[in-house]
Amino acid sequence: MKASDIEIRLPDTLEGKKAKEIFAITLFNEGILSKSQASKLINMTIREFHEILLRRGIPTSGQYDKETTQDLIDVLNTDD
Amino acid sequence: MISLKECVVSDASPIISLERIPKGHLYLSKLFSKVYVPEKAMFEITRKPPRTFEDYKDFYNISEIIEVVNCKIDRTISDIDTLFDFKKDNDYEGEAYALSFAIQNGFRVLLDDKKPITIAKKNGIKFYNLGTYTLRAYKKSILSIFEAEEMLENFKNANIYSEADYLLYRQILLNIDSK
Repeated sequence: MKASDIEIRLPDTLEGKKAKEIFAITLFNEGILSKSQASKLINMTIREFHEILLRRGIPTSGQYDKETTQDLIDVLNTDD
Repeated sequence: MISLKECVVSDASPIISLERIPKGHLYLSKLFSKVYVPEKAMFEITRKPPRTFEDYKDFYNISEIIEVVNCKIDRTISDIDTLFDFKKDNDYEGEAYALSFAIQNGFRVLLDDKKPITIAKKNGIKFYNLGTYTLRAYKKSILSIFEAEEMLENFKNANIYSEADYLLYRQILLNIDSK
């Protein structure tokens, strides 16, 4: 997925900092930004970003795409 | 009795994730004989709230299992330069050091971001996340199936992995012939 494919709807009353946070989380969760890139986008450390993800119930590993999931399983299956 | 547990190199994220599970850091000593963490990754783990490594390891009772290592980036690793760009404030610096230490010492590496995983794959470095290493530990009879199931469930409950990943790992677990 590309960033241009994503539509994020935000309430008018949402303050800028919160809105930016939602952008960063969404782009991370869709696999467009890494944890490191997303945390920098909102001027946070990876640890702070981690805590936000956990608070919002979003997996900290993000959504693996099929290829990455398969790569992880392949290593498990082939490693002696 | 010979221990089947292995040494591993870890980036910051797997260690931080375990903080969400009560006594989660004890999983490290159940799974591994030693966890090497590059200094750069440990800096990320302890920078906010600011703590010393000594305080952190005393708090989580991990003095015996985690060893912080000072290593250099291995420029022979193909595409390693793409992991850290000083103009972009070093996107994957911890991972770059973890991959370097892993390849220099022949260790497996714990990672969870896609880009470093791609580089590990390209360079023949064996990579795991906490979930897939739990499956390996069961496969190698380091964990019982009950321990492995409990760990996977706790990883899911702590939101370390998605429900889909949990279901996949659990399905694989049930199909593994433990050695």
